[in-house]
Amino acid sequence: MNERARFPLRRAPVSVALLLILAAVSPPAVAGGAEKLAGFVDGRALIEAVGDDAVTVEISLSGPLLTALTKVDPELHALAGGLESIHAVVLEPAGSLDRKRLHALVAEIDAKLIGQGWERLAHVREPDAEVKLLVLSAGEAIRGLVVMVLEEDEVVFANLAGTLDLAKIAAIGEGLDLPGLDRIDPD
Amino acid sequence: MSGPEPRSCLDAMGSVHRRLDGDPLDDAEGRRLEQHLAGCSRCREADAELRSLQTTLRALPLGRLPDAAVERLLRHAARDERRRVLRRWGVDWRLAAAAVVTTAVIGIWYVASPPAFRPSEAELARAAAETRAVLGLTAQALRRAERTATREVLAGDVAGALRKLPIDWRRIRDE
Repeated sequence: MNERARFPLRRAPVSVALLLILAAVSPPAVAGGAEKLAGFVDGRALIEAVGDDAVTVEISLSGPLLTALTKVDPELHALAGGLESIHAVVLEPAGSLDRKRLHALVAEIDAKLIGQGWERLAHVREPDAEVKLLVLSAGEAIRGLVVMVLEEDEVVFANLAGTLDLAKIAAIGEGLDLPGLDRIDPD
Repeated sequence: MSGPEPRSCLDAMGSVHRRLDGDPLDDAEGRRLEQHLAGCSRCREADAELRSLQTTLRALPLGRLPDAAVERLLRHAARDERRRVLRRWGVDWRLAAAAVVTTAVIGIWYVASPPAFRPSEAELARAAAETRAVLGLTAQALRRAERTATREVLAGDVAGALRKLPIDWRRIRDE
């Protein structure tokens, strides 16, 4: 039996070292790279359509901060332990033109997501508001949720990406006293 | 089985080789070797064969190796010596090289990687409030959707996705 056959793993340390080098020189993962999540939907197009002045609230949580948060807050861990990204924008259109732009853009996002395989969970039309709810499913699990609320003087866009439990999230509306978005300090 | 102990044969052959290489044996070693050879025919024959081989080799005409070949030989000898040093310490040179490279890679990674993210209490508090707000908004939207979904279900205008809605049908009916 030759030496190589007797020691088939002799080159393994060199291979492992090469793999480590490749891992070290490959580009580092982008911190909080929420854009790569299947359930992530970017709501910045809404801001770009009407300008920063219309933004009353913008929330963007992902990566290490969200992980740290769910680690220190057991209640949020139970509700949002599987979430990898939370993104929300609240806009107040300055006039009817901005309002039309935002409404058109919301319709565009809605159609685009349906085209990408999202399902429309609900489309609520009420006298004072229109609410669109879309989900991205993967088997039995829900990987993304988009909420878009159109009101006369306000447009709300929210996106949750990661593993979601809708029953739990729906339950918190009754079980917990959660502040509304208007209670968030925009500064 | 009669005859000298194997260990004595090994020692004797060591002395035989040193003597053939021209290393002087001290008196005691020389005496022990002669005594052993006198009583051990196997070692005596080996000693005789080695002397004969040495004499034959010395009688051969000397050739001159090309300079390049000498240089190659020296390089091989130096490399073998380095490997021998590693082996003496029980180290496979490939393993040693892999260990050096791995240590270097881990060192570079450790130095180059950003420090662990540790949000402040204030950042965490703000993030918690924001998370609750967005979850609250989502919950409100879901509740709103539940009410409308009831109507849509009754109208037979509902996508399969509605099954995922956490609807309490009895409560809605009572309302």
